[in-house]
Amino acid sequence: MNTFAWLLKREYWEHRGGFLWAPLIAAGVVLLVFTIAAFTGMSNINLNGNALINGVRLGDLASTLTPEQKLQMGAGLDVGLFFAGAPVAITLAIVTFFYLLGSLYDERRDRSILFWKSLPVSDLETVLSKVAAATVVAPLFALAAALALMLGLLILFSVIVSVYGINPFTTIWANASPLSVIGKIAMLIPLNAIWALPSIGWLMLCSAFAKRVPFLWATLLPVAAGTCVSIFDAVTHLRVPNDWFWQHIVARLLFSVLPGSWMDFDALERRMDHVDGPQVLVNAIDMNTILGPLSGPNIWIGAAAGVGMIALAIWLRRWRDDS
Amino acid sequence: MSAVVQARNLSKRFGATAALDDVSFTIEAGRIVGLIGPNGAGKTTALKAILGLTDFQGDLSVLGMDPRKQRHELMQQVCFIADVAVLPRWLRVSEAIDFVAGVHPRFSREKCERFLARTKLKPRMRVREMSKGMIVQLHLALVMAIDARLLVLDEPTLGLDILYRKEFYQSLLNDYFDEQKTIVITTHQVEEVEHILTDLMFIRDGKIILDASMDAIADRFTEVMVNPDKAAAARALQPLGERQIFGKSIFLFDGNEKPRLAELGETRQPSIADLFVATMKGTYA
Repeated sequence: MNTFAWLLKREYWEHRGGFLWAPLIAAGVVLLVFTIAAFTGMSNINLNGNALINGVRLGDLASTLTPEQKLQMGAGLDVGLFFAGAPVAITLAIVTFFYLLGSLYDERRDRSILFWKSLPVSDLETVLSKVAAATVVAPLFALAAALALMLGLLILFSVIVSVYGINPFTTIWANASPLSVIGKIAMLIPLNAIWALPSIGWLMLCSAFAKRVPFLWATLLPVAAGTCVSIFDAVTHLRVPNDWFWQHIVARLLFSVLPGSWMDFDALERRMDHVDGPQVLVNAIDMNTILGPLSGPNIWIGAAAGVGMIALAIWLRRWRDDS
Repeated sequence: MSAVVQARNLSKRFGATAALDDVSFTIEAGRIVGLIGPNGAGKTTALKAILGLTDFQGDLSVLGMDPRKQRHELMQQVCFIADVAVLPRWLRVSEAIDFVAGVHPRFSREKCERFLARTKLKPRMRVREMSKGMIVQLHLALVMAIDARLLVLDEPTLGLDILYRKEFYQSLLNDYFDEQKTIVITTHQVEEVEHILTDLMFIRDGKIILDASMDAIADRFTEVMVNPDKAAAARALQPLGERQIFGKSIFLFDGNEKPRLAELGETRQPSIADLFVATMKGTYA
């Protein structure tokens, strides 16, 4: 293994709780909530193998689905699976946020930076390994947790439909495609990473710079700047780009680590106006969606700013002398 | 022998105070150098400059490299223990060994495990579960398993009990040091290192005020125990220091001829601690 792989492993050792356990626990909680909901619902209706709605047996209903209906059902399941992973994504975002805030601060606080610096590892490699841990390692663990969650949910659905006399293999497993959903989410990892660069750079810069409480530096500075701009906008007749500042500076510095926060919801809505059915939601994560944000200058300007701040963090780690 | 460290006109200021004030010195290979000075004298700054951890003015070459520009290459040949308790608390013994073995080309896992076998440390143990002494044992085992040409120790035994301190210097001397290696130590526990040092440097207010080999120091400094009747004669020879013990005066002389001093009373070799106290007189006044 080369030095960089060892550095990644080191980050994993230190942050096993956040990288591995947090998304697994989030997935477990979602599964638990669904299970409780399902069993509460089922205990309220009669449970024999011949559930009837208006005299029609559900089992018969399911076996007479047309191929088109099956397709729609699969799409519906896929969309459900996709959005069921949202708590895992939010957990990942929170973990990443605090991981980055501590990434260059904790080692200064406990002075272990002197141990790391006694080894032949450059500051460039060290800082980049932390960027990679935040953009690749942590998302891959979250992805695995999301996959486990999806399979768990499908098993849960199968149990439910079996209870009502429906064959789970023909209805659920033949139509849902959890692997393709996971594959699509995996394709979003690079996009998420590029989009997250301004937040990564800003949080790491604060982490490398702050003598104490990097959290306050990271949050109060942009919020205070935004507030100043807003006040200036309110009390003067000059038209300051107040909303623009909050959306493109403050939010980008603080919240870009949230997976999918690049999504342009207005454009998505326009595209959905003309189509019906759940399939359209799955299409929301097709190549158009992925390449969409990459074509605008926004993401690249943000990425450049992020790279600049990461470079500054590397410089600070090399020359800062307060231990 | 080529110089391992060569410093010329090294200066570093923190605001109004000079941590290093136009300092020049040379450290030869195969020596164990004690860098001794009161708190705030500039010891740590000097070491940080050598290790490329801080910027400074002047010329400094460590193993022929500039620590500011070639820090990465330098750290393949140089190792340091900065202070106790700098190992991260979450680290396990096995992880520490794996990581250092992974990133350091000159680390010997087999050696490290041999050193650790003599301690109570277990592979699964985390640093946060260890006592201060055990943390230093781990750190020392890691560092001694690295075949470095220069080892820098900054207060390595701070806060350890005497058993750990003795063991630390003993293993350093027996299992690590040889004529290819150079060790630079700063410490306040002068008594414990004076028998292993080959060279001594006193630093005060950012200046090197004494830089000599231990042999030269033995030649140069003499301590004389003088009866009260000869005390005035001894004072006339301008001693470096004077202290009273059991009604007799003990004078410390720099450079006077030994036979002449022997006439005044019983002469002996001063300890580094006494030499230090006499030279640093008035530092905090």
